[in-house]
Amino acid sequence: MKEQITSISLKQYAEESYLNYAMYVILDRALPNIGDGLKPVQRRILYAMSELGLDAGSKYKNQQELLVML
Amino acid sequence: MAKNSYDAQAIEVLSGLDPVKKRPGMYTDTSNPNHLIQEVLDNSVDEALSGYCSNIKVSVLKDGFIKVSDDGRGMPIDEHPEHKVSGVELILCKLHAGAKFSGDDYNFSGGLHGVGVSVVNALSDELEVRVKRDSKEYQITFNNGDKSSELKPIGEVGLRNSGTSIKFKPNPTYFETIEIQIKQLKHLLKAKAVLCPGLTIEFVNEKKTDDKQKWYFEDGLKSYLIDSSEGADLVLLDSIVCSKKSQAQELEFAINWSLRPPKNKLDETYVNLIPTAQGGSHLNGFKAGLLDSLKEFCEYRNLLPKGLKINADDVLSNAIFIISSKLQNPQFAGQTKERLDSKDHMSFVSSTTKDILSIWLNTHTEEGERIAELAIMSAQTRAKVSNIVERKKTFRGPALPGKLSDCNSQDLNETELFLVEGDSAGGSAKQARERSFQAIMPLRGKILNTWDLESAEIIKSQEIKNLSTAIGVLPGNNDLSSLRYGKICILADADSDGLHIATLLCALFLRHYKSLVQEGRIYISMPPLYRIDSGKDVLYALDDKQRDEIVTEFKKKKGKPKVNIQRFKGLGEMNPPQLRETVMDPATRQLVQLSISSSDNANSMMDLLLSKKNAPARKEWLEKKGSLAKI
Repeated sequence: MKEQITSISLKQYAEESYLNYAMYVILDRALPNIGDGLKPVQRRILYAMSELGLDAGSKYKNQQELLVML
Repeated sequence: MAKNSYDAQAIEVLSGLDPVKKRPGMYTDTSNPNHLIQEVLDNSVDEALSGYCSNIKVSVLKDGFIKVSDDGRGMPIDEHPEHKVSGVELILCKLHAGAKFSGDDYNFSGGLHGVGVSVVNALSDELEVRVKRDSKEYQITFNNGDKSSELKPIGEVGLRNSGTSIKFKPNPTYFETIEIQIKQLKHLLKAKAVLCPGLTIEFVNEKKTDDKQKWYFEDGLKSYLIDSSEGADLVLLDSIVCSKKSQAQELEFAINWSLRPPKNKLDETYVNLIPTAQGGSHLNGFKAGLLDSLKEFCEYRNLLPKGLKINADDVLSNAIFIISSKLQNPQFAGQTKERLDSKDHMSFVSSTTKDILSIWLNTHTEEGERIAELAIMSAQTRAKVSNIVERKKTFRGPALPGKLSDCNSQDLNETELFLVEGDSAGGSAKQARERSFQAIMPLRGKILNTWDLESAEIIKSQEIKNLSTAIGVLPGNNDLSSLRYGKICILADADSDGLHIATLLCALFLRHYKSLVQEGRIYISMPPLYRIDSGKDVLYALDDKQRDEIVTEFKKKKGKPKVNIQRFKGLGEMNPPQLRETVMDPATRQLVQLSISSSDNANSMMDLLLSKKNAPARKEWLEKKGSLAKI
């Protein structure tokens, strides 16, 4: 099993990985959007709900259906 | 055959002092005569408590006698109207004829106490009583409980001179040893002096020259506390004292704390002046009230670190205290009847203690905080110790975690452990692996951020525990002889959460398994993010950039076949053969070794990224480098 071993410094790898994660969380998870006040997960839920035809006045639907839509 | 006649005639009724002689163990502690001295002493102390006696002298005489004399009113020498004998004779010949706290009605009952000085009489070879009363001195003597001379006046004394003096010699047949335990006796005498302020107790041991002592405590419990704690640094300037009387109960205590563990840790409790070496209701009520009040105080002033709980032992570590309870008809339990058993009294004590302590703590906030500090430190030590103990327990058994799918080989040159994110990916990996030398262990969710924690503490996390068992090495341990795998590969998804897990694992290995990193045994698997196929060609891309490159390449092909791009949201989306090809097969996988060198300071980078206190520095770093992120 001939294998090429490439090396990367732990310091560099950790920095890149964490930077990636941090920016992702900040932009796409934790902070609400200034336009609509929603976090991405909330927006997805609302979108799925609208796709299902759910709004303030419609009758209740099962949460499973919503999850399938997501 | 003679009939065994078991009729009423065969029943014996022991009368007088015979019960004591037949079953001495029921009435006294037969290991040594100290308890006899206690009984005699208790009568004199009763006089003192009622206010009639202020000096008691206890002497151990050369000829084996023990003498206890007081300056109370003297035992009654007149004839008892009902029993037709002198008061003195009654007290000495009838069981349970003893003194009461006159006027306050405290009764002794149960246990070895309150049986009366008649027990002493029954178990003594010789006993002599001298009573000074009404200007005359009287004497009466006994041998083993039987009167040997009548009560008769033997002299004249001053009008104000009164008191009782009892001299007795224990009969060796009833005791394991007739040696008096001097140390215990002195301790008892001192305590009686403490609990009865204003009483002077003198002790003389004629068998040893210069063995004499006097005790007198005007301030009662407080001065006793200070006296017993000589040498210890007391935390409080003024010990906390309490003296509370209710209709049927009384509580007095004094408590203080010492900075360092005190030499002789004072923690004595008394009921009706009787020492209760095994504690009981009063002690338990005290502990409960103390803990409650301190807990409240800490909560109110936000003194407790997050998650830390203090218990009664924490509060009492380094505490010195003395508790004196008084109640009617106390019930004693325990083998030596030295433990108080009274639910009522316990609630009285705990509520009184809590009230007094709460008020004190809130009016002496600075000192209160110091006490709280001591308790918190003790709780922290306790928490640390329990963590370490738990850790030792986990390594007792060689049981590998159930989630680990082990490999067959033991050869470190070829064995590999893959740490996989998620159970579904774990399942695919198990099917994709090469069983002979590759082992899989799924990690559920994100692991603990171990960068700031001690090796002994992190083992509390189930995941970390499993991991260290699988690897075969405890965190923080530099000895790698029990290492089970030659390579440890981190196999996380290619998405951002996967990268986070990878970072957390890097922190774990760098901080707690440094030797593994230094030996180059930690690897990162690089699973692809995209699978691009066009016709029969399949290529994998690690990131968007690679994907675009491949797509452009494919588009150049003849016939322009449709290019399909599949994005992997997680490793679980790949089927096992794909997984094998891209991640597990050494021939085709991309495995990157993590390295550290002494020149680049990986620690400071990890500090910046994962240390909780570096949040501001992290923010700056993000502001600077945020644009470089790839997703």
